[in-house]
Amino acid sequence: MFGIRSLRILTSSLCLLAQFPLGGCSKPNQKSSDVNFRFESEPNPPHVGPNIFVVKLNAKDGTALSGAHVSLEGDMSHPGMSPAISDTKEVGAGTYRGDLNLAMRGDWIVEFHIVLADGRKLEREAELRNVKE
Amino acid sequence: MASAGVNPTAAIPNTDEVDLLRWPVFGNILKWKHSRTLLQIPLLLVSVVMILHGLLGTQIAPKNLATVLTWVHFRGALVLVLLAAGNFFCLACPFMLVRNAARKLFTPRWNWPQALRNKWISVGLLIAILFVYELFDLWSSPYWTAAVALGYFVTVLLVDGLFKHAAFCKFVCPIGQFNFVASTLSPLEVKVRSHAICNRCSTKDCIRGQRADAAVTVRTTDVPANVASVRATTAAAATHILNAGATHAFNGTQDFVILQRGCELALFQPRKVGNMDCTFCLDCVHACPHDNIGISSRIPGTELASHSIRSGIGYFAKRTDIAALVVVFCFGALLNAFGMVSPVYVVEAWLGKLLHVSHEWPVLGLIFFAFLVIEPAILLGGAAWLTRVLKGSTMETMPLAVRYSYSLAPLGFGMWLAHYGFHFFTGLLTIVPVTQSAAASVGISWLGAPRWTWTGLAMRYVQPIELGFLFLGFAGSLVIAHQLAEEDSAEHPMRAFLPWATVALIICAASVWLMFQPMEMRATLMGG
Repeated sequence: MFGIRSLRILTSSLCLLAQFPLGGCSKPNQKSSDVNFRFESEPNPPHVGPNIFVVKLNAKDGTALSGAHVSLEGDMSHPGMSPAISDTKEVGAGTYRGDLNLAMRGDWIVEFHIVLADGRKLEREAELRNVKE
Repeated sequence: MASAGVNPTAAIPNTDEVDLLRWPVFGNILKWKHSRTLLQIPLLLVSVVMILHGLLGTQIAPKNLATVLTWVHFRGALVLVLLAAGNFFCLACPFMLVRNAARKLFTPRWNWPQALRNKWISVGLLIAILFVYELFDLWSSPYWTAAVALGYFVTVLLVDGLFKHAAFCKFVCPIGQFNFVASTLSPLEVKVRSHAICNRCSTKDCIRGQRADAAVTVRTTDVPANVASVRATTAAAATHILNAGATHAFNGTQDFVILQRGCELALFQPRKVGNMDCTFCLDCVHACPHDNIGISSRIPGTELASHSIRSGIGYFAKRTDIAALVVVFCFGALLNAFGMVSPVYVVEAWLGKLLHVSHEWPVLGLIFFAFLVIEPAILLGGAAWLTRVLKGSTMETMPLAVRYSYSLAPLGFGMWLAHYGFHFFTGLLTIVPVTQSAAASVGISWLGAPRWTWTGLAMRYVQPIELGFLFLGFAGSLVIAHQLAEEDSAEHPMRAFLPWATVALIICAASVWLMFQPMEMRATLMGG
């Protein structure tokens, strides 16, 4: 029942399946080099518990980028743990402030999901190593 | 020779046992010749997607299918299925599907070397996997998780491409060995329904494979394209001409075709005891012409205290390698959990300072040595010596340690269940947003936006479950140790039991302590 023909079909299917993501896998949010991104945390370094993150966005010429939507997402280095998710508020021209509750000791990755006023999407990451109380 | 002349005899049903293969629908599906393939195909597809996502997708571990599926769902589901049913993950093993497919193209020529027919290689590999997991923080690396899975496929093809039968499963696969030890605690076992029927059986198809006379049944030219031809010596044919699919073979002067292979792991059903080395592949079920093999219920763990000689294994008490496997299984459970709590970093930093090293591997190596060699040597050696002294046994310390080490399997399993169960239950739903995200990355949007807030049960609900698993394992270890002690010393079983109960208590207490340590998962090198 499962002869050479079936084997060929299986192999071809696997190849097709392998081609599918290879052809389609591209990061939807390309890094935009004409935006300066900086962030600060309070406390610095961040600790277990609530932290304040302040994000500053500027154009290359130094102009503050207002009207963006910046959300924060903290993930543990281990899969399966609860992520910390929050939004920020613009507290000044191009300055966004939000809280993030890091619930556990260890290494965290904070992602900054940014949608600029002109609709462009940016993704930035920061590795927070050895977060402690 | 062939089973064609045997009149199928209805097995006498044993009403005391639940037999999965007698269940309507489910039993019929399992008994279907291609049931294993049916289960393997989805797992192979998932593996392929997982590997591709690991290699090409986001490298944020909680958002990648490779890390989420492997370290949250696969591990958790594996131990839970082993606890609730049996070694069904080996049954559905995708590596074997690839291997079987490859064996239709090329035939292995060699038998696994006699000197390596033991568990030492797989014990070493199990330790190596645990070591690599900690050293390279595999849980945090989708790329390396996928690479390890890919490496596994390559190793299977290499080993089983060169060596006959199920050499990889029986002598190499560290996951398989883990499953074998854990499945000694499973409530289901592939076993003979009626030994009376086996006694009357002359063909022994369950081990030899179901054969037909090639001259009568099929000419060589008529052998279907998927039939691999092999030459086998008479002696080899008597035990294992058990190749993939139907196999055309020569038995001295007579050609025969193997229509259905028997047990590739050399487990002769009538003399098989328990689940050790059984992959639940159901080859024996399909090969038995008398429909005399079922997947039957039993009391979990009883095989650990059994003195019977086991087909394909021998005596547990004489198998130092299997005892070492159980020891690694038990103490490795503690070690693996120790790697995710805060004290490990304190110990690493202290050892690093003491040794004046900044690399993690020598420090980690020392911790592994302490957990897997020094600690068992002290605890098991001490308990064996005490047993000897208390009951005035003439048995040497080492054989006593080997014999009673099997009693630690339930406790080890309890710890694995607590650890993997924790990740499984607390991260159960994370597969949903990760799948949505992976689909979105290849342009599939109909699954919707990832719901990253979907995680799983809260820790406060999971911790009692963890404790339950652990205490269940502790109770199991006490029962097995007591059974062994009763057999050793009917008059004073407590004298033999107490040292081993103390060992179990120490390990259980250490496990509880570990469970209540603050979790700290760092994917960075020591002091980084």
